[in-house]
Amino acid sequence: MAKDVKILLADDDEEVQAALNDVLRSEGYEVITARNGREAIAHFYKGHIDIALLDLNMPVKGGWDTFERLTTIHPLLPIIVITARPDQYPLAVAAGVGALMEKPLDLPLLLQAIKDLLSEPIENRLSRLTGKRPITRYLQTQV
Amino acid sequence: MKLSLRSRLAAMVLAILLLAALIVGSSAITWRQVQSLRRHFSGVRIESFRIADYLQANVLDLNATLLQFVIGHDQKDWQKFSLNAETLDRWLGQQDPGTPREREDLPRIRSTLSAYRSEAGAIAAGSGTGQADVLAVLTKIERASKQLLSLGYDLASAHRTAAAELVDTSQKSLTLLQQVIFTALVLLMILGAWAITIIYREMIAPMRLKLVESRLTIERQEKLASLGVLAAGVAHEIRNPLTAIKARVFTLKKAVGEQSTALKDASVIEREIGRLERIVRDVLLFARPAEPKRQLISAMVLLREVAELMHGQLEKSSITLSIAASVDATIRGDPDQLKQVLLNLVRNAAESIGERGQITLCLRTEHTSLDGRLLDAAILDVVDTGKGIPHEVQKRLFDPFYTTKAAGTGLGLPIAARIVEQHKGALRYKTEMGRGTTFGIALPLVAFNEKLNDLRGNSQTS
Repeated sequence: MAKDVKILLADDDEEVQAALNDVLRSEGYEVITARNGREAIAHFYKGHIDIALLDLNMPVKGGWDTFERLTTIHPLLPIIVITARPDQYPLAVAAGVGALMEKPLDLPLLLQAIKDLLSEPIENRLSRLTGKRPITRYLQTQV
Repeated sequence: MKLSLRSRLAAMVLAILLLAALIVGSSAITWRQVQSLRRHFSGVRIESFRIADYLQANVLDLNATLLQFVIGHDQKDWQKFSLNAETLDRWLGQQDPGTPREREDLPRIRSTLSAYRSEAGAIAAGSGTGQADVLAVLTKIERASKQLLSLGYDLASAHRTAAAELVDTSQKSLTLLQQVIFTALVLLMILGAWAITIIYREMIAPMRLKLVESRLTIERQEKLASLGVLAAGVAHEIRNPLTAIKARVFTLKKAVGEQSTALKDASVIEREIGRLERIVRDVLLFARPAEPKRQLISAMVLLREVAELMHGQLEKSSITLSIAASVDATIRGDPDQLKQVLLNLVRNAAESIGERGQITLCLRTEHTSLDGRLLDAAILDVVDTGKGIPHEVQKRLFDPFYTTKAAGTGLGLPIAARIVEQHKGALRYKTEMGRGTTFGIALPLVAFNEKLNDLRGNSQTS
């Protein structure tokens, strides 16, 4: 069980948020939820976050804006983008996300991605951000 | 067979030349007719009629004067007669003989006139005073003038005949002219109609066809574009609740014991979620297929990869998969997308066969019409020995969501067709009940120089 790992979960869909919250909690993670990008950034300033799960379609501040902001504040924060939008693959590669997962999520794969990204060496994360290692094995797309 | 552009142009030029010749010919004929009419007119002048009239009137006048002299013996009358006769003679001398007949007649008239004058002189000299004498003199005068008058009559009738002839000839010329003009007009109309037909059939009709085709294409593209937006929106709305359901089932499965019946239910729910996911994915694929990442690929390599991928699966159903190709062909396309199409077709073929059968992947080249153009194409055929496609299924073969399979979304062939379409190719099929079906992917063949250019481009960038 992953003890003391804080996951920031940002999704505007209440049911999705609640269900994912339960899944992650059942895996032993501590989950902080946000309904939009602004809330997510506020939580980030408040305390330490280990990994973020970002939905793309969110009111007030969308997923990619939030991703950009979070990466600026903390470049080494692993971020998994979860989205119901199709065709986000090229953007995700260009942005250097930790993983891209299309809804409805493959949950075992998501949990595996969280584990892997948390234990990922810092150099890998950095090289991904600079575009040198663009594709991780969790750039999953349904298409 | 269609005539080439060159022969069509030659026909047009020929038609124009023919038209020009016709116009020149008819105007030449018209010109000649008008000329001949003019000649006739100058030959028989209306003026000429007056000679006869004038002559007759004067001769009668002279007779009267002469008679007056014979009765009255007034010297003045004789002078008047001589003067008038002289004037008439001079006037006749002044007349310009227009026709041969006039040329012939005028001197004769003049000589007859002089004979008449001398006769009159004789009458004047020898006239008595008695009543019987007057009658005798009158008879003499009449006799003398008779010839002159009859000559006048002759001249007048000759003129009348000439005039009648002129009218007759003119009428004939006019009729001929009318016929020539009418014929030219008819020929002109026929040629015009022919030219219009050619222009319409060879130029306007294909253009209109193209216009209609491109309008249909645009309409279809617009429809598909809006369909894409709609599909993305619907997919987004469906995927969110699906995520929640899936996550709940995930936790539910963990919560219930391994042996519980609830686990079975959860698994069924999970499977159904999977089905929904597939539908959403297929709808997205159909409504907004990814732009193909084009590169030069060998059709043979593509077929081999597909054969390798499907080989194991097909063997279980005792279906043999073979490749029949004599030469390779280079095409430009997205290898993943084309592979997806081929895999789909092979799977369909296998399902049509069921157990025991033969699937052949053929590669050939053909000169065919693609995307509205005639070009060399590579045809990748998937030939099966299956059941064939019934007629009523064929009609709806490419309709989205139409399926004959228990577990299909009915989007396989529509997606395949769209992918091929995005490669500027065409998906074709022919089928025979009980014998099998052949699906062919026709793709533009990459020419040798294009290949060379591509290689050069690649070596420059790398």
